[in-house]
Amino acid sequence: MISCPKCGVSNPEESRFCRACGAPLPGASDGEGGGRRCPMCGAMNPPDSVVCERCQARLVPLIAEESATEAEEAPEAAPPQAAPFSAEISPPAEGEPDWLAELRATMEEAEEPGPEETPPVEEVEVPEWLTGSAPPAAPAETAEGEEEVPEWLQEVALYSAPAEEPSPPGGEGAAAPEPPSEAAPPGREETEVPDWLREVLPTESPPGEEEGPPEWLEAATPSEAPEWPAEGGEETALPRGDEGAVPFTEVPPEAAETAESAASEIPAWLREVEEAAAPPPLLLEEEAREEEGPPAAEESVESMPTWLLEEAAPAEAPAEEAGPEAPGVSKGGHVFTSEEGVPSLEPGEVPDWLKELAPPAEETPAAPPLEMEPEHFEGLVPAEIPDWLQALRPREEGEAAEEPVETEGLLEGLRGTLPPSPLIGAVEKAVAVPSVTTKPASVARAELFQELLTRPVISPRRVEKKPRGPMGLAIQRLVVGLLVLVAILAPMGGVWLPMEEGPGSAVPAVRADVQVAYDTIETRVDRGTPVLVAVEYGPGEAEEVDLVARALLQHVLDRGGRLIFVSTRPEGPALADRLASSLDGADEARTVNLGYQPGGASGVQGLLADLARRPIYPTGGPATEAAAMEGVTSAEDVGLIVVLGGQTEDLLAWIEQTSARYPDLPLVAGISARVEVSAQPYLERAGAGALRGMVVGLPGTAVYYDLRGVEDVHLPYYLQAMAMSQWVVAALMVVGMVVFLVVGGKGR
Amino acid sequence: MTSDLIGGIVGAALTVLILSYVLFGDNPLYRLALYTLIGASVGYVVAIVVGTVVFRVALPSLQQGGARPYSLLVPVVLGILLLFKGFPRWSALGNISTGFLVGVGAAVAMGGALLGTIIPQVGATGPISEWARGGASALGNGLIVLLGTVCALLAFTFTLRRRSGLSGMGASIVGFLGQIGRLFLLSAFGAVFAGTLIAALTVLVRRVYAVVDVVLEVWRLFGG
Repeated sequence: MISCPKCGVSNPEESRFCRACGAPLPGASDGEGGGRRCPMCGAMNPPDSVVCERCQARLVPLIAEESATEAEEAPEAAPPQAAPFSAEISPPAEGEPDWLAELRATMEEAEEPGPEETPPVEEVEVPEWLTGSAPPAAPAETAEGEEEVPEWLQEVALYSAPAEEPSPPGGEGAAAPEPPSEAAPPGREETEVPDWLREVLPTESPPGEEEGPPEWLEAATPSEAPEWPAEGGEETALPRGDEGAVPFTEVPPEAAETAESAASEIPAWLREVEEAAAPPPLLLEEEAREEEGPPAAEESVESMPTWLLEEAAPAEAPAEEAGPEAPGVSKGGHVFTSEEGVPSLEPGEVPDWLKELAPPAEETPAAPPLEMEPEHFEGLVPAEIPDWLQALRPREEGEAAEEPVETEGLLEGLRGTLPPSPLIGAVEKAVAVPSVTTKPASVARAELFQELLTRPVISPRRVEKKPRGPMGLAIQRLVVGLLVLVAILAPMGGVWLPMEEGPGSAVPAVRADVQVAYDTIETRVDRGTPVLVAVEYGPGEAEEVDLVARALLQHVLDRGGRLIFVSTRPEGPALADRLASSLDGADEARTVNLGYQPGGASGVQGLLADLARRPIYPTGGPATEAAAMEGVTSAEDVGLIVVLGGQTEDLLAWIEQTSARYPDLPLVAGISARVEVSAQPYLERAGAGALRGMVVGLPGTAVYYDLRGVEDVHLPYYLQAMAMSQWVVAALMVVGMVVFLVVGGKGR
Repeated sequence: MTSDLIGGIVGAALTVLILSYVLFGDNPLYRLALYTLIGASVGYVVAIVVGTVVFRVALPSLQQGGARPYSLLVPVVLGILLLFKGFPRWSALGNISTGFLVGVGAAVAMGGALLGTIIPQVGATGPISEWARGGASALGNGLIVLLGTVCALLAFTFTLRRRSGLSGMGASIVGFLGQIGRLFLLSAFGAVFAGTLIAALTVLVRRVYAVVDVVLEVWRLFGG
């Protein structure tokens, strides 16, 4: 055990500094042969080393050479600063502030509790790096702690031990340290303080500048100077509490005066910055060393880590300008005194001042004052707040009261949480989503689809089709066309097919429906009988229907009847004119063309209801002026209706409308062969009673001519040609089917 | 050379151009004749509609007025509204006229179909007693009509047998009658096809003979 020559506290054998006061212990050395100890790893390095040989940490801080030189010359002239921190409770002195007296009483009470009140658990909760900061309770515990904590941190802990002792009341380690010894070994300062540390030490300003204010303060006008020094009086010369750093220990009169002057020189903004920065509430050993002399301060700086020294370096220049430092204020503007003697280092947490030492210190003086006196706002013009920023302004109660109250949800009962929006009100009710039920059939289809998707892809077998050349198709068409053409032209070459009435006859057998049509015209049409003729075919059917129409209408004209042409097709009037021009005796007195009547079935009904108001085609004159329209106003005035049609729809429209409104009006049809099948059910003889008779196509025309006893030169050729072409077509169809069954089947 | 001969020559030429499709398929000559026919038909139809309906029916009716001029108000308004069908933005205004036309046309067609087709056709079928009174042919005809009607309706039984409640013998009978109905349908379609073929051959015969007549006429005209 080594007793501290300064405070008398016993220290372990291997200790180099006192664990209580941090004073260098006799017999301790920097190692073999002396040298520089790395602040990071603790390894010893030669005295001239700049970088640690073990961890490459920098041993010499980056300090200007001039300041180092001044630091070596200044120790003797350094002004007395604040006394080192000590837990020793000195008797109350006269004129002592109240807060200091209360603190003294608290310290006395803290020493009274017995050992049983010591909470042993707190030591467990302290982090490793801080365990060394607590004073070792026993030599054995100290030895264990030294194994885990670097030496430099242990030394810091030794320096801060007196400040932490009051916190854990009682305990063996909480014994009050002895007062610091005033006698420091004179030769020890030079041996223990390295050269680089001397450079770091603050240089003392010239004696002439000690009393005067700093230059930056002289530049300030008297009105700008803080007012608190004048208001404080003598009792408030030193800021207490949170307003400034107060040395916990007894302050010598000289130091107190210096502190007062220094504190008065600190501007208000700097003091507020110090307050915001939470100055470390402990008195560093540096101040204790200052009482003894520069060497002690150098030791404290030496024991500080490099980053802490770098933290203090930027603030060196202002500190030099400010002349003698104020007691309790470090070079960087930090106060290293403890407030009312209560250490701020709590076990298990990092003090704020230690955190703030890590970043650069230039942010501290640049911090603006948080609170300003009203007079500081004079001359300032408030800026205009933009609308969007004004909308973000916190609402007052009066404003919030105007907003609607939330009635539901988590914000129920609150006002103004959401601004009223028309979009919110627009949604009146949610759209009902129909319930989707998966049907088994849908599931089956989905499974089938999934199966098809997962089925391996099999490329279909390529079916090679023999390309049919254009010549093949052309030959087929040519063969078919030639056969039909030969069949058509064969009658002209004297080739005749046998008919029912004997070889060479062109007249087919008489059909009943043709006979009925002939008989109807014979019985219903007399001289002057108006006959309504509906021309319901187009140019495509004209070659066929014209033959039928001529046979029927010529019979009507021969019977003395009058023809009134109407049509529900636009092509009808022109075909009617051409038809009328091909009939014998179809003059204007006996024929009239009423033109086109639109509307389909409605048009038919309109025609049947009103014939007199129709214009004459193509002149456009009134129908009543036509001679053929004499005495005719509607379908009731006509004796017969002849429908000439080539489409089923047109024929059915006339049959239905006539039978519905004029069931007694006879109706005869001259139609194309393609309509015959559709017209058969409407024949009167079939029981439907709407259609008296009909003449269908070329065969029906031939029969009709035969019934009338009229001969047509071309008609026998037409019949023979059509009959031969039908045989040819039928033969081609049979051959085609056979070829398809034989060749086509093999091909597949 | 008369106009009939010129018309006959043009008609014969167009006929040959149309028949060129038989030998050469789709070719420019065929297209020329086809487009000429279509264009002439459309132009003629437009001319007839405008000349006959607008200038000879609608406008004279508006000018004369008649004894009840207000009776023309509704047709005129409906006709004007129908013109808006040509403008997509205002076509909705023409729906009134369209609805009127479709409604009236459907009503007229429905009445005619009911009184002119359905009732007469059902009545023409008649009771079985009348079939017997009409002799063997009438009875056979009636039975064929009945069988064909029922079987043709059963031929359109496309629903699933399980869902229709048919199973076993019933399903087999329905399937058999459906096959018979299909035979009736094929016979009807064959008859329609035969009629269409006869009509087409008639037109072809007439046109071929018309071309021959024109050729002979031209031959005679040039001293042949």
